[in-house]
Amino acid sequence: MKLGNNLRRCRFDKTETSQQVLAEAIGVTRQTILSIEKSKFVPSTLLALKIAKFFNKPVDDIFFIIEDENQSL
Amino acid sequence: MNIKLFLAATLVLLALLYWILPRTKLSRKFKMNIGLFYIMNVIGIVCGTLGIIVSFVWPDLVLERHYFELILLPILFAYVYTAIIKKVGDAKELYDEKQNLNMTQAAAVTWPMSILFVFLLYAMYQEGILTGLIFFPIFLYFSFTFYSVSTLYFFKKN
Repeated sequence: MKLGNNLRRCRFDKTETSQQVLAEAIGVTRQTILSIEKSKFVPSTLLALKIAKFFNKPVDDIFFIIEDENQSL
Repeated sequence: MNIKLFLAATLVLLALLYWILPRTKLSRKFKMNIGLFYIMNVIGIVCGTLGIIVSFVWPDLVLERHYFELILLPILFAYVYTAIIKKVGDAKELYDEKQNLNMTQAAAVTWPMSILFVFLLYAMYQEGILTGLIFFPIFLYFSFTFYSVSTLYFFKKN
């Protein structure tokens, strides 16, 4: 079981927001956004909520649980 | 100039800077960013590596002529700079949560590695490669180098 996300898709839904713009808006580094998108880093609840607020979407529209780790995003 | 006097003057200067700078308009220019995060770790790697090399080649210089403290000065500058940013208090957190995690991972790796390194130093003493108190600077330089390398590695990898 791991945490998947639609972060990249959300960024491009919202007029192609760059990782840098998103990072600055929520107060993290671009590397952190990159790691979240690649599912290498699991954000805290606070950070997940900040991301959801930025995109004006519910958290579970952006983050979801992958039961089977072989399942592709 | 006497090197002890220089070191003492530098410490006093740093303490004064820490006390004065946050009270001036200059403090607005003190910001933490990703570039600074890289620079601080690179300073750790450069100073640590230089320290290890100098300790093995000129151990007398390191201990008796206080090159030990001199080589560590840039790291101290970096820490004071960070402390000023923290004191200015614009950012509640100096680093973001991934950076904090990566530094924790680096510390967790550095700790056992430093223990292994002490065994290596012990073996060097047994073989007569090292003598006197040089183990301490070497140990410290190794820890700084390994910690900085690990932090950057985890930051880029994860």
